[in-house]
Amino acid sequence: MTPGLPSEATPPVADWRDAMPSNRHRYSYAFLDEGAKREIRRKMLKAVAIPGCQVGFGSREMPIARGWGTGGLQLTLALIGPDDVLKVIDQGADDSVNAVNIKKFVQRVTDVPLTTDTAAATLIQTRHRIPESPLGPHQLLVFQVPIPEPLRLVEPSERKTRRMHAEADYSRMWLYLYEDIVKFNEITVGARYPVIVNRRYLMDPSPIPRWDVPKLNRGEALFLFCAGREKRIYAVPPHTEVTPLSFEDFAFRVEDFHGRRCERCGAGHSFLDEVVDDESGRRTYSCSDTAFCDQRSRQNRQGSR
Amino acid sequence: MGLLQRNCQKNYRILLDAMSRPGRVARLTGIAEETPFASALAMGRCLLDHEVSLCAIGNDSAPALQSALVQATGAATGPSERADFLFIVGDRGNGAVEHAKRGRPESPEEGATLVYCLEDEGTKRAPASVSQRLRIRLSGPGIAGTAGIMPEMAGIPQTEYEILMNVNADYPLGVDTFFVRPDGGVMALPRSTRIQVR
Repeated sequence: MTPGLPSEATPPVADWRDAMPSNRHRYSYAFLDEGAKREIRRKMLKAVAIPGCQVGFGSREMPIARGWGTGGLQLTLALIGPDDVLKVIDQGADDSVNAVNIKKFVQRVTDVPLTTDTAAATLIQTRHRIPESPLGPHQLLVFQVPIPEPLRLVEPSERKTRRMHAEADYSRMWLYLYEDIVKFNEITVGARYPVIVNRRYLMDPSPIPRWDVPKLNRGEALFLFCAGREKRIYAVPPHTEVTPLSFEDFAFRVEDFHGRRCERCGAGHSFLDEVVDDESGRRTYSCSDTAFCDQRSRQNRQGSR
Repeated sequence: MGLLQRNCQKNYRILLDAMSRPGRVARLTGIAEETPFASALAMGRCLLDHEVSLCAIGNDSAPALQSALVQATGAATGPSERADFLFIVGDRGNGAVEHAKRGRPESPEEGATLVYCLEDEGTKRAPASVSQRLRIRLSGPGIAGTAGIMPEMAGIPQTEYEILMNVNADYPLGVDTFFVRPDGGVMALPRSTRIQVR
């Protein structure tokens, strides 16, 4: 064929933009190349086989900055397929900037359907919350993790923390909590409350509130954690014992919302955000999990009709 | 998304599901039963590339499987005690499992992944193997309740369970195992699973 002349099989195009591949086809399916996906997939299997153990991986450059969910995003992209329905939440909200950007990006490179309904999603990427509605056995929850090493609080050296994990020597973490009680008569760790997984590994559950920690224990879904900046993957399989560190005479307790209710849906049993009115100074509360709140509000409206 | 990519993604999710629910049988997709080692090759395409090493051992067809895997994935080959992935043709490790990599205390994830490529004979022997499976109890992460379950896959000799129990006794050091059948059935036994033989 003469170069420059269109062949019979490909008719000439009127507009060059029509000839450009769509966004979806300019990149590999799910953005990552197959080699990157295979490495992440292998590391994820090892992370599931050794619950709570941090497995190093080669974190790739992503089109968002490190620290903005690149870890969670890489797991999502390595897992996702055309059969999936994706939900992304940020601090419980489906519509905050981080969540919206991530889900738009994933949809652009995969064409998967998006949802805000927790029950309809097969793959949920989350920053700092676990949905209020219980997860089922065929759902995957992917956490974005800023600091995967729970011992970083007490030991700056990675080599030393690795040794501490190898020896299951968590005495300094216990001491840290004990000193907190002595100083403040309270364990002051709010989010990122350290937990022991399968009676072996100390694990950082990512900055979820204490409220969500009990949901990790013997859950139905598979929980996957990934820190893109720190290049670590770890996991909690279904039906796995996850216990927060606590003392016999100083039990672990979750945030207390006694006597408070969501202003919008009236829920008294969900994790609440405090909202302060700038003008009147009035404090109100609303559910942190927006999908849960929406669902309850809808039910309330239907009930009152 | 190409068909190969699609099958890899689907099969990976099945392998991940198997690994997070030890003792349960999941089924790989896109397996043409007439091809020998189709299941093992599907797993290989999903997980192997030039970054990892493999070794195939077992009966006379092990070299054929090894060269097919290398051709399909570009993985390096190595001796069984240094391989990241150890493919065992048949239902017996013949001493290689005991010497497979178990990782280091600081990096237990360096332990090998074992893939037993079982042959169809196991299912034909099914009636005998049910009573044998009754003697095996699996418990731990991924398994609901504390009573434990019986492995769903038939045809795995009791001695292999005993070997895996010993190899994984020093948890978190150990090996993670898949059992695959020619029809695509796959069952996982990660090192975190406690095996009891009565």
